[in-house]
Amino acid sequence: MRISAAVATIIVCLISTLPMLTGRALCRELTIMTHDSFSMSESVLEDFKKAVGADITILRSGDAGQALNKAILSKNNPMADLFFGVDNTFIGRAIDNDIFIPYTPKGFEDIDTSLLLDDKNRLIPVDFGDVCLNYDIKWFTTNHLAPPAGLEDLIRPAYKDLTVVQNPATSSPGLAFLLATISRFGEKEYISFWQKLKANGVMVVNGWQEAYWGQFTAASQGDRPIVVSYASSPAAEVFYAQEKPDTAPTGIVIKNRSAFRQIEFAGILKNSANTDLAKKAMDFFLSKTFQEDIPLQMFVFPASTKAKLPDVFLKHAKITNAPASLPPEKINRNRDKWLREWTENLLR
Amino acid sequence: MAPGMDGKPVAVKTRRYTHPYVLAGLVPLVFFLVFYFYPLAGIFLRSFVPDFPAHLHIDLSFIDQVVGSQRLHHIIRFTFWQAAVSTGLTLAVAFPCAFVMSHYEFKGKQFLTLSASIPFVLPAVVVAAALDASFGRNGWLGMLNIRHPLVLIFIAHVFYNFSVMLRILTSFWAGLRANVQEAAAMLGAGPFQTFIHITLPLLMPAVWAASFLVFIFCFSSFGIILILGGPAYSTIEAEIYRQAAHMFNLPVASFLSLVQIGFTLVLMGFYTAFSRKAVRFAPKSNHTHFKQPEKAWEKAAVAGNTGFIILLCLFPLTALAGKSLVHEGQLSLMYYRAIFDNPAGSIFHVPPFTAIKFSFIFAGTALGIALVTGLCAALCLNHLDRTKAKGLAAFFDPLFMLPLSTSAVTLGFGIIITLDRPPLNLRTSPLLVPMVHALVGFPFVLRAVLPALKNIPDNIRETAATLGASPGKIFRCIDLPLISGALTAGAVFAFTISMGEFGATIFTASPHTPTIPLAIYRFLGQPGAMNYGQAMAISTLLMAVTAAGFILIEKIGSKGIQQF
Amino acid sequence: MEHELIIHNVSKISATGSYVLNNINLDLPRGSRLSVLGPSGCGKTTLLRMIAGLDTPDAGDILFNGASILNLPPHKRNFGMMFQDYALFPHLDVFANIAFGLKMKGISRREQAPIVAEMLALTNLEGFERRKVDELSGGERQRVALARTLAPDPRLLMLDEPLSALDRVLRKYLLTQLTQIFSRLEITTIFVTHDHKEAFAAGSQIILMNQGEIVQQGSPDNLIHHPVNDWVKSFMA
Repeated sequence: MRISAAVATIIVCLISTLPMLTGRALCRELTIMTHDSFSMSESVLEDFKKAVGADITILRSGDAGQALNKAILSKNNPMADLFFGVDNTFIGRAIDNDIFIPYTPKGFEDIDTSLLLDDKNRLIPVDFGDVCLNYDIKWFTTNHLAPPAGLEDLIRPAYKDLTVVQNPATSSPGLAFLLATISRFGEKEYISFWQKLKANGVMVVNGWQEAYWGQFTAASQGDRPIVVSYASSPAAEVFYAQEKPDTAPTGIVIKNRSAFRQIEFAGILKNSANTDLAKKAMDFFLSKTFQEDIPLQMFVFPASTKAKLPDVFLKHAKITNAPASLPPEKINRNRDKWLREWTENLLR
Repeated sequence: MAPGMDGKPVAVKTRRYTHPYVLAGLVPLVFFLVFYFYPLAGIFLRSFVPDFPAHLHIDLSFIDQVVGSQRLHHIIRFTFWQAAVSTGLTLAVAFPCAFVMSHYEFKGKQFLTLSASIPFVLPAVVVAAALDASFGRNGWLGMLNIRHPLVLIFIAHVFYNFSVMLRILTSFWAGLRANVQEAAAMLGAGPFQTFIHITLPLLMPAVWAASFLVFIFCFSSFGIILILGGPAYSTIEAEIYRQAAHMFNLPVASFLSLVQIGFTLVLMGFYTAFSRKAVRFAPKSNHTHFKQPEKAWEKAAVAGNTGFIILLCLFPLTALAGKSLVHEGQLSLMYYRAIFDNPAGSIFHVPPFTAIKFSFIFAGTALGIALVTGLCAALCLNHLDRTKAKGLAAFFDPLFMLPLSTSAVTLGFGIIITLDRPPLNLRTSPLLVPMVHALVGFPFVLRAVLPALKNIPDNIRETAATLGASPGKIFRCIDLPLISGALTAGAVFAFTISMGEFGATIFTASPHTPTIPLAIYRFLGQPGAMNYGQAMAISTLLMAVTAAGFILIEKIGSKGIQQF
Repeated sequence: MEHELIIHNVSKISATGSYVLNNINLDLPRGSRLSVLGPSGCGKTTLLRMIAGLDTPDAGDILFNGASILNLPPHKRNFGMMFQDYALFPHLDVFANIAFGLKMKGISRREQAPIVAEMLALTNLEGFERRKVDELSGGERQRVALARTLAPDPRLLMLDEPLSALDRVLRKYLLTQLTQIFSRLEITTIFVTHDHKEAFAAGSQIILMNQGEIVQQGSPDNLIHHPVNDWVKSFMA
């Protein structure tokens, strides 16, 4: 009998916590839907609240693709007012589903014009990062091998069994890298490059974490000294190291159009009840405060040309001069076909 | 049974007396309708009738993509094949262990049961990390060179499901009445013949039930396949996730979900049917007799059993904990200290205490919901069973098990498009996480409580009724005390399942309310050896919490837990 | 008369140190009918289990036809035992239950059929072959258990409280049937019960046990008219 009494007590206690969970603030609130990699510092969040004049709720909703899918599914009755993090591989899907309204925020004129992809300004570029090959400097020194200079090197016999990439169907850097190869070798020939890459022992894993933290020699016990990651990853290696080294332990391959630029956009969701607040938030995204917070929070580059980069970025992160690129509408039209081709060839 | 009640106690049209236990069945039914069937129906409608309600045109163009795809055929075959192999392997190792655990009493037995139970409730990321800490390149058994994804998948599935199989088999084996075997001996059957002709046939329903359950778990395996299998291997469940979350191909994802639910329903039907038969063959004896191992072979069997369980279950868990305690080759609490730091000042840094707090709040709330709904369902099913509405009970029993193997992403998308208006605007409510957890924890409560209820002889209740006890009184004074052990066991399972749940949580939790598995995931998602170490440290904390939960069961009395 | 079963100085001590059986001696001639009578917990079932080989004595010896059977496992003794709760095999039908002992002896299915039929006739169970065990009533179960025990033609028949699970009317009826069957068979029978009326009906020799010891041994007449002490007198009352 004592036990059931105890159980009953527990239930009563738990049920009494429910109102605490459901309790809602009464003041106005702006909800931002975004992906799992979104981040900002606490001090910037305080500024953000002041700038908007409301409470901010940030709804991280899975990876970039999943978050966008949720926004599309809920478009008639949106879960948020603002969406942050549509990238240039998904911008076509977002535009097609007509979930954003146009708005030109303050600071728009400072944006690097090469990043603008929507002429109606429904989606505004906020940051960008280059996906490229990263390599383990120490490994190449000890093995007396020159690091790869471009994508073509990966299929040379000397580089057999050295590379790990992500599945483009499940990973956004994986998709960016696939697009880099398509841009570099063309829609017809890219698959033969991949077939050669497969013959040369390329390893395919599902996500960035498995590749970087599971297989990359510089970051794990793995045996792959070449990995697909970001051009800013060496800076992250230095920033997160227990003792900060003078030079980064990893290098990047960005020459010969071997890097693909991912641009992230933000936009105001249709049917939002707080469009006025959302506009203020869009302004804030392009403000110096937010733009300068981006590098160390998300390890990508700010879209505004006015933003200053932190030291660790200036020293260890490089901006690609001539990234590979594909028109977004072409990506949107062919994404499924390319993924199917790639899957049938690489995963069978 | 009372006259006038037999046959159709539910179809009450006239003003007849409806037993409160029948009404109790409405609680889980409504819960299921609102949080399970309604969202699923929503996502299916959206997938197959895209223009609803404007046009009632059923779009079946996706069928070509499914029927024509060699890859999907391969995935469906692979799903069955890997589940069958995993189940076979689990049975092969659990059967001998169940013999030892059901016959002998020895030192450390409770501890073994405990260590075998922990893996079942750990999130896949932690299991993958534990296997990596054991078999990975730098793992403690790295020299064995076990790297093939399939081998790792099988090891992980055995690791996960061993305790389920062991518990079910042990419980029924111990429940087989010794005198049936003695009767066989008296009729001239030697030990081997007794085993072949008597013990094994009597055990078979339990073996089938356990195998179907493990098969279902492996059939709907998701995280393990995704993490350990890499891109080359995919189950139906993993493919649903890829199609829905990455390709946004909702029709194919929904179709595959339907296929999976269909298969699961059939499999659950087998499982529940065999469970009923198993209970008939091995009615719970009130006191189970354990022997001390005396003969040399008995001692060897006990030692082998102990060694095996330590190697299979305890070793990877210890390896994981070991990783969290070693920093650059030295014993250190560095990672545990570091989980409290927030070097980048990020608003999304998950303070471990916050994650632990929300894990407890969610798990506690989920436990409460699962307990109430599970108990109501058990009371109703048991009552239906006794009042000869067996068909109804046999229909609802497998149905209530469905959430155990329904794709989290399908349900998650369904919730987004259906539970979006007051009074059920739960998409961003903190209540959503415990609701979804309760959906998964509910079947465990039901499975634990139902056999305990079935074991209460009718005449006890009837005696109480003739002594003037109302149904409510009977519940409070007879049923509840007699099933309290089972109820506690189910509750702790619901609690720990919620503590470890990841797939649905990532879909439903808001960043302000992180849980321990989400914290692990976040740490693994950030670069740096420090983050990896911290992920191991929080995983170890999760294991400790889980172990504490199970110790609680053992302390309170483990009558019902044997069922699961 | 030749002594078939000899129990010599058999003792058994429980885990708590008390005597379950204390120095039991018993000689049983071939074809005799013995009833073991006593209150529950007196050690009568333990004694039976030791003869069956399901339990081992801590001291003493048990001989059958002049040879010790202590090291003979139960399935090689060819003794029949009917359990208090019958212990029917729930996964087998009535035919397979009765034929089980025959099957273990390696008798072919064709040869099993007439023996099973004979047993069914003996126990008034004709037509029950394909019935499932859990569809049977208590009395029917009891008779299936008896048929199953008798089918392999055991050298010794032991019955542990065979009637205790039945109601009074049925008990009386089946007791008459049992004694009729016993008188037709020429088999040594040990009948364990706590009911002296049953014991007197089933056995020509009675041993009365209490607290692990044989209190009195003799014919029913002897026990009724010459009780050795007051306890025996009160137990008979």
